Amino acid sequence: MKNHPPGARLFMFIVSPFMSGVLDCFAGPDVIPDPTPQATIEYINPDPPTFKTPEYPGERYEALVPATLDLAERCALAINYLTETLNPNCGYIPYSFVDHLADPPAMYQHNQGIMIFGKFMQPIPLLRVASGSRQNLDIETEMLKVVLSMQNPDDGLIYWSIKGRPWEKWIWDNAVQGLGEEAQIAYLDGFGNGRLLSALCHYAQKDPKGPWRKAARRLNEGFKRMLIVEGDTAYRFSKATVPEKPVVKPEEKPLGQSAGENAWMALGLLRYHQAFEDPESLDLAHKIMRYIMRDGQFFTEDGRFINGPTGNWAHFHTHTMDMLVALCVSERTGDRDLLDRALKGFEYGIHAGEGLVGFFPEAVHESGPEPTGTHGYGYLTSEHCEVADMVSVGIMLSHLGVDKWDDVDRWVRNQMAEDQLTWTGWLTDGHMDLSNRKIPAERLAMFRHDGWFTTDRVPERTLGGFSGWPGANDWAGHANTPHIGLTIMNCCSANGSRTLHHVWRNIVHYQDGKLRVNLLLNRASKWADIDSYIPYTGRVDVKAKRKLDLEIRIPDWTSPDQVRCTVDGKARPISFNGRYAQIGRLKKKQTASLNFPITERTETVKIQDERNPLGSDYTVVIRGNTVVSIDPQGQYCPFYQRGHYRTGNPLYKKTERFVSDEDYDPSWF
Amino acid sequence: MKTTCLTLLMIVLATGSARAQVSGSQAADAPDPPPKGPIGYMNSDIPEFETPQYPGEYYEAIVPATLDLAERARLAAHAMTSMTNPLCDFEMYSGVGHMNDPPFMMHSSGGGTLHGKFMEVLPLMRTMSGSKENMHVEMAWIKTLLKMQGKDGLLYVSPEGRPWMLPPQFESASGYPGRNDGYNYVCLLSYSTARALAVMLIYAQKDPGGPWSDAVTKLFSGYRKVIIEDGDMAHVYSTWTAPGKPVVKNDDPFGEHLYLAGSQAWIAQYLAIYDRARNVPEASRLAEKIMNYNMFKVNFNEASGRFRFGGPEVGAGKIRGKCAHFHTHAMNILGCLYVAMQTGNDKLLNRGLKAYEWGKSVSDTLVGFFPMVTYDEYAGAQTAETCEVADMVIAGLTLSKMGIDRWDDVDRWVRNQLAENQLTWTAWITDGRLDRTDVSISIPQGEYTTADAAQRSLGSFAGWPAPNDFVGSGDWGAGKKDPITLTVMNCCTGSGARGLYAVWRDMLDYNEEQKSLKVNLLLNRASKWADIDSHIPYTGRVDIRVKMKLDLRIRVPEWIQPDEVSITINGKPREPEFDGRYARVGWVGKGREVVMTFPISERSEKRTIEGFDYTFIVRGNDVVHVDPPGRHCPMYQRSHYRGGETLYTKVTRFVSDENFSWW
Repeated sequence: MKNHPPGARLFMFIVSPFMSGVLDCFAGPDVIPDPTPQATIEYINPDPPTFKTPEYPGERYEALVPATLDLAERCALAINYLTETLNPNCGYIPYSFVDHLADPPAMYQHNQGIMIFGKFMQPIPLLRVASGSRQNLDIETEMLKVVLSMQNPDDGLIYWSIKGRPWEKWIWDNAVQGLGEEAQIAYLDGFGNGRLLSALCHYAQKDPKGPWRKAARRLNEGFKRMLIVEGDTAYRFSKATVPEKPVVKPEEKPLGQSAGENAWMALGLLRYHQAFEDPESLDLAHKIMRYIMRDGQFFTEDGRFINGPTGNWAHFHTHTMDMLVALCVSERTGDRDLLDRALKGFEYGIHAGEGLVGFFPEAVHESGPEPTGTHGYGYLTSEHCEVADMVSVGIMLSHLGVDKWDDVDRWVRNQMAEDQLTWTGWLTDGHMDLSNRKIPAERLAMFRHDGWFTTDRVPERTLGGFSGWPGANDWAGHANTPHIGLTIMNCCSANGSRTLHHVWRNIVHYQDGKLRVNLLLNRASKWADIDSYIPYTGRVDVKAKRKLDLEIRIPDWTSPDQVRCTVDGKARPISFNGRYAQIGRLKKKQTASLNFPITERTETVKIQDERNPLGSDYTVVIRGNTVVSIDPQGQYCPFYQRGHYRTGNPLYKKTERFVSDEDYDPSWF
Repeated sequence: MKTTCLTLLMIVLATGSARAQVSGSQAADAPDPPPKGPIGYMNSDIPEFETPQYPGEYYEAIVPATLDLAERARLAAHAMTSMTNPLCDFEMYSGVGHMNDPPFMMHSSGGGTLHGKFMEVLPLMRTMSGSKENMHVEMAWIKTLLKMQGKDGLLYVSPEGRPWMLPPQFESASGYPGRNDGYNYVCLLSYSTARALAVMLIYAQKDPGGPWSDAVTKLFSGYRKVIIEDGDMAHVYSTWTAPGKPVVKNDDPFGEHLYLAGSQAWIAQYLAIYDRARNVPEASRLAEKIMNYNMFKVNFNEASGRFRFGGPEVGAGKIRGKCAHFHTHAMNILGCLYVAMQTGNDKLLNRGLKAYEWGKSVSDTLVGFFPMVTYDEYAGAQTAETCEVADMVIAGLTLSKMGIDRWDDVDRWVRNQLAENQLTWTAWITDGRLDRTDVSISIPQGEYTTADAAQRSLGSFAGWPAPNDFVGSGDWGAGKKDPITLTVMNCCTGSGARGLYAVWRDMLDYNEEQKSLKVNLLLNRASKWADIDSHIPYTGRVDIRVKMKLDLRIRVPEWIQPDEVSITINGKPREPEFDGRYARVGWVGKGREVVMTFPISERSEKRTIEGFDYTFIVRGNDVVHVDPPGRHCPMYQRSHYRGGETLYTKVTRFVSDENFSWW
């Protein structure tokens, strides 16, 4: 098998051989605890360096804030997920999948666990900086020990074996075929290792005296050695390697999906440069992205998503990840061509999805962007990964002068916010009808091996995770997706978490005494606290904590001439620079309030689903940029249960706000 | 309310003339209509009176954003005083059509039945909420009331200047005479006139030196003259009277229109209230006789509790003449209970209780959906007038006060159908989503307004709601596919507001002698004794901040097991003892905070209501989701309750210096 997106591969692995036999629902007996290893887990470095437990200093205070979207709280929820859905008995490796529709809900170990480990590690410190969450700091420490234990003292790469954890076998990759369970393997696909390099850079900044900078440098150097450089391009020599395996140029260059997957490694190199000024790393990242975006047969010149010479279906997430890294490289290098290509891809992605709510499908046919019918593996839902990516791409484009803040605002408030699991009452209220849920027993058996899964407190542990296969109106998609009715794949939860922080970080931007507010969302910061009443009413309060010059971006549903400003209750005249209201000087402790009308409108959008693979009509009611109603409504965990926003009377919540002593570059995610 | 409902509908459906300016789903813009000439009043020389005062304490508070009846009362006061025509002495519009473009409010003879109803509850709404909105409207109403009172003490309306005040001919649905009967001033003896007894009693308490004591005495005297007593039974000589119309004994004043006999329950209730307020046993005796007549001669509520069909003109479609108007029967339940409270008449109490339970048996007791009419043969879905929802709530709490515990009925119905029947938001009208294809109504020019109708009607109560929608759709008709006409009939607004007050008042029971406070319902409430912050249904928690030393008892609803209840006082545990469902907290000092906590969970309930299937998700006693959702103004937009985290709202709390315990 080749040239299939990761989701497709995973799915094929699960499904293709087994399509007969049906198991209705399955009711587990008593609680099944976290599995234990089936043999001793062996690490390539049994004697890792010691380090200091991470600390997250900052100021905490109680506040009564409007009960509107609060990304800091969402970040805290994500911490819950990222630190609770690990198996403490098996090296703190994440479970791969969650099945909330099982009875009882279950979490399955599978072959995404170790690959996802780096993806989990990377956002954890960022989420803590945003939220102040101290939940499971001990687990974070254990995860860090595992990272250092997996780093090869010789070549700096991150290795693991499947010994004791047979579920992690990555069976379709030729690079590892024939290796025994004790073989130590480093995957260069990057979405594990590439993310880990970012994480190591992050911890190096937090703890300069710890082992992190050295670990990051060694992993970075290891990456460099894995690359084939040709002219102004570069790509990895193989998807995976083992210690001391020679780096040999492959007979065929990676194309399509195989090319696109290089972006994770490029992101790691870029982050290393961002943290430690290493022009060679930046140059290599640049070469990789140039290869992917220009030569890798992954995008056409006009931004269309393709998949090499033979693939018909393009994996959305890999494309958006490539666009995202291309923009990060462009930001550092000024490469206008990368920016243009990413922008074209972004616009294509919007047409391939639904740009109002931010629904982006798991895969797009090469003849897209419009849906062409059902993918062979039944892609009718979204993956959260590409939703998060598109949001981050919008932010990066805005940084680079192409204002996409309104896209970001709509998608964050809608599909992205709804894709996160924030309540579990729907699992226990008795309303779900799963009588039609037919799961081929053989398919199910791929997951429900004895010793491969747990049912221990799954709803609580998975709070804060992101849906793997959401529909337009339902977190659980639909019960009979070919994805076995699973609800979370952990790749999505990690990407959603990453972007939560990215958006949170970019709500405000402070530089040289000037505070720019880009998004009208709740936010505490060292410069000012923002209370957003949107969408209850058209009101935003900015409470200055220091003397500053303030400008606030007004979303596209508001007309500048309708905006009124007061400072401490007194009217203040304002001017506009584009969509930014120029509030001017605020003294410490002054509060600027912007008021403007907010209305509702109804729009009909077309989104593919199980009713119609070519697109079904959904009627959405939108208040400002926030969807407050959708018809038809979801049947399992329905989206947009937001009637309380519609009365115009703001509700409040008591919260502990946190302002970290740490801060990171706005393009650091 | 049957009377208003039928009056409105008859006008609405019969008109459709060339003068119609509301046609189909469209409404031509129209300001408040002026009168057609000088408005006729019986009495142009009215006595002086004091501007009503609403003394009490105001303070800002941050409270859980859960059902707050005081806030609902503030909304109701807004609606009642805003849905009025300033060019017609602030006469109440009788109906609202929210589904038209733009929404409109219309006059009809229903306005005549509303005056006493709105006037009775407006001061009560202000007492609950401290609202002083539109005091000028209240002043205008008071003047009008005094102008309506004839020398015989009764209250008269006239079609002069407002031809819509009377129907063209006698209307069996309301008991109104027609314009063709030749009387220029007419008193409909039930409904508004009966409620005016309470209006005058309220103002008499507020302004003892004013004209009210005399006015209410005259009104009672007026009633005595039109009620025919026959042994232990009594009835009015006619549904209406007029100056110079002889009072003639008539053994069968209602004929086949039993429904009109039922309308006497209004008179009985307010006579009993008159006795409670003024200690006039004769009033209760008269009331008792009226209820004896209705229950044991007419058998309006039968011995089994069944509601007897009301006559040939009750209902519509296939069940016309073969059904019973719920609201009127529920008012008879209240009539029985009110009289029993005054007289100890067990026969009436038992008949009231039987009818209450029978009414429940043909309704949905989870949410409190009571159909407009009851029937033997299903011929289409019935909507639930707010009137009977409120009546049944009041009946439940009245029974509870009489020792027959129905607090859980009250709790469920208040939190669900009654709360959802109140219009608390209007965005659904303007969001562009409304499907108006089934809307069809005609209203003549000069009898309606479109001026800010949606905003002015905020706080009104639905006239024809479904279990999932403030607007009953075309599927919810009287046995046929009806068009959507009006959404609010203001009879229901008055009844809904009345229900709000009754629950608000009786959720607390303070005994001055024993210095004891019973908390009967776990809802938000400020009072002079204690302030209650209810976190239900976010979480199972209620905070009670005690304002004076008292002996505290708290009723826990049926979904809570007593052994799951924990109580702290200022953070220190106190083990409660239970007396039935009441947790005996014991003596609590001034300034202390009692916190009661218990588990709360969700469950799904599948119900079939009037032939339609619904799945309700219930958290505690609160419905937090319904499937299918409503199509127009969907009910139960309550997902914010389900996160388990309390959200708060900023309110101005009000504790009145007044208490209308006799009401």
